[in-house]
Amino acid sequence: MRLKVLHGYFIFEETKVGQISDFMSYSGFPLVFRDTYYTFDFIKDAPDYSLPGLAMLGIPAVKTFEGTPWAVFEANGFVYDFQKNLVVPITSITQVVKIEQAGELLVAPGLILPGSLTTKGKRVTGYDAWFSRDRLSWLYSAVDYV
Amino acid sequence: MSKVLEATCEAGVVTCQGVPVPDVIILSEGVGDSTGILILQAGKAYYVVKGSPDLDETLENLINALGQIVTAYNQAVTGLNKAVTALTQAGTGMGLIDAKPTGGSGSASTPVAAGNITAIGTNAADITAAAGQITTAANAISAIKTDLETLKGDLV
Repeated sequence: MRLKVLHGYFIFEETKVGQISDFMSYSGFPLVFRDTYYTFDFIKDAPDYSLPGLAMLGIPAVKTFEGTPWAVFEANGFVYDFQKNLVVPITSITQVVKIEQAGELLVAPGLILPGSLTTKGKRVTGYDAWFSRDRLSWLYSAVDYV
Repeated sequence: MSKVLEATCEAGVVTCQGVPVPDVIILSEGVGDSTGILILQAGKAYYVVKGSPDLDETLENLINALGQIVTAYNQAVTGLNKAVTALTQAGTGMGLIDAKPTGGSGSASTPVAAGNITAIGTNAADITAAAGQITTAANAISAIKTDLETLKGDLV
């Protein structure tokens, strides 16, 4: 199962049938289908536009923008905090994550919270990850920073 | 990709889903409040009124005025046709009077009214021509009125 996080917006994709349901059973995360992918239930209605002051998933937007849900997230500086099940400003994330190279891949403890700061002071905005059912862990092929 | 949303505009402030939208480029302005659409494109916002109440009312007044003109024209044409009929009848009657008396000897002089009778016929023809021109104008105005009604309908 593949996970793409774009500017704090989560996109889960099955590479084999049954992976999503298996992952939901293992993780307890409620995932729902939207358009062509799965995502967290809380952000399934993330809008494709934003207006300053207009509530967007419980938080007032700050920019006038239209585009994909993740582009709207980026424009407004928001990320989905799956630990709190909330959409929050990326700058409110203070968690530090240690990302290490493991061959051609990257590893980190658990699922990286978007907005997390690395030990080098970079802030994570997204990543490309694969869930290893055997290892019950995530393997990262790419991490984006701001 | 653009996003189109319902919006309103009051005193130059565009509101969408209950929040005032900053830095909106208003593409159509009227003197009154309006409802319209907000277009979000490339980080900018544009407001377009759906149907300007001022323009709508102006078109309505113009359509009514043109309708009254067409009615007046048609009434004028009717009146002129009646006048032509009356003149023609008068000319016919005077033509009978104009006939030289028969019988007796000698020749009667041409009645004085002969020239007037001829003029009546000419005037009747002129009035008929004028009535035709008025009818043409009325038809043109009717066509314009129809176009304006179509435009008004498109603005709603």
